[in-house]
Amino acid sequence: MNNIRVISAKALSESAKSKIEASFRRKHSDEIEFVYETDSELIGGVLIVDGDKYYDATVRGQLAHIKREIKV
Amino acid sequence: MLGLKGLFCGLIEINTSLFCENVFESLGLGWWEILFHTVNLLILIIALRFLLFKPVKRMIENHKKKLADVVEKNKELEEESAAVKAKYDKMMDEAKIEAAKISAEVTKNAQRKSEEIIDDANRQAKNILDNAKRETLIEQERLKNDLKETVSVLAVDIAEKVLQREIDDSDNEKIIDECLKEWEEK
Repeated sequence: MNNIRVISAKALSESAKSKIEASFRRKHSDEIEFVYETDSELIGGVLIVDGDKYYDATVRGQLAHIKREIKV
Repeated sequence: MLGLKGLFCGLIEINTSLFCENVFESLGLGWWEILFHTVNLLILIIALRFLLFKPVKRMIENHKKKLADVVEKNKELEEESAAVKAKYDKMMDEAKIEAAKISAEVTKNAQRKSEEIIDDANRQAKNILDNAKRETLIEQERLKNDLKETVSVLAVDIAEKVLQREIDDSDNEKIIDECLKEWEEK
């Protein structure tokens, strides 16, 4: 069984969880289990770790990306 | 007239011979001695003429001739010397003209060289100035970019701080919805 880690700044609502689960179940044919974590450092949004793939929708990630773009 | 004159001369002659006879008698000289001495004198004169006067005259003539030769030689040497001097003067004049030409050439070359050096120095100075201006502009640009970057990073940090306070659950939902949509399209 594959584990998908879902890390958010605050605890997600049930609707948000169901939307995430539905989206990722469509990507995978086999059974998957979701592990929910919180990290206030993320500020907002969600970070999803699917095996070796990272789906970064966090505010911190976006701000870090902007900083990198500025420095370049 | 002539008769009187002849008579007069005759009288003078007789008086003179009488006078001479008296003088010679007083001196103790006879006619033979006088003749003898006269002949001696004549012989002496003739001998002196051939032995002394003529050689001496010849010697004087030779000396005069030599003197004339020397004078002639001197004249020739003077003329030669004048010719050499004229030649030397001409050579000196030519040398002076040549020296003046060379000096003018050297001055001209030196002036040209100094102008070249000045132009080169000006060119180098201009290059240095241009390089300095260029580097100043580059440095200004760099500082400007550094400042922009610093200000931008600061703005992002401020935004981070603000967002930490401002993002609520509905904002979170919106972010998640947008990202899910984006990931599904990929």
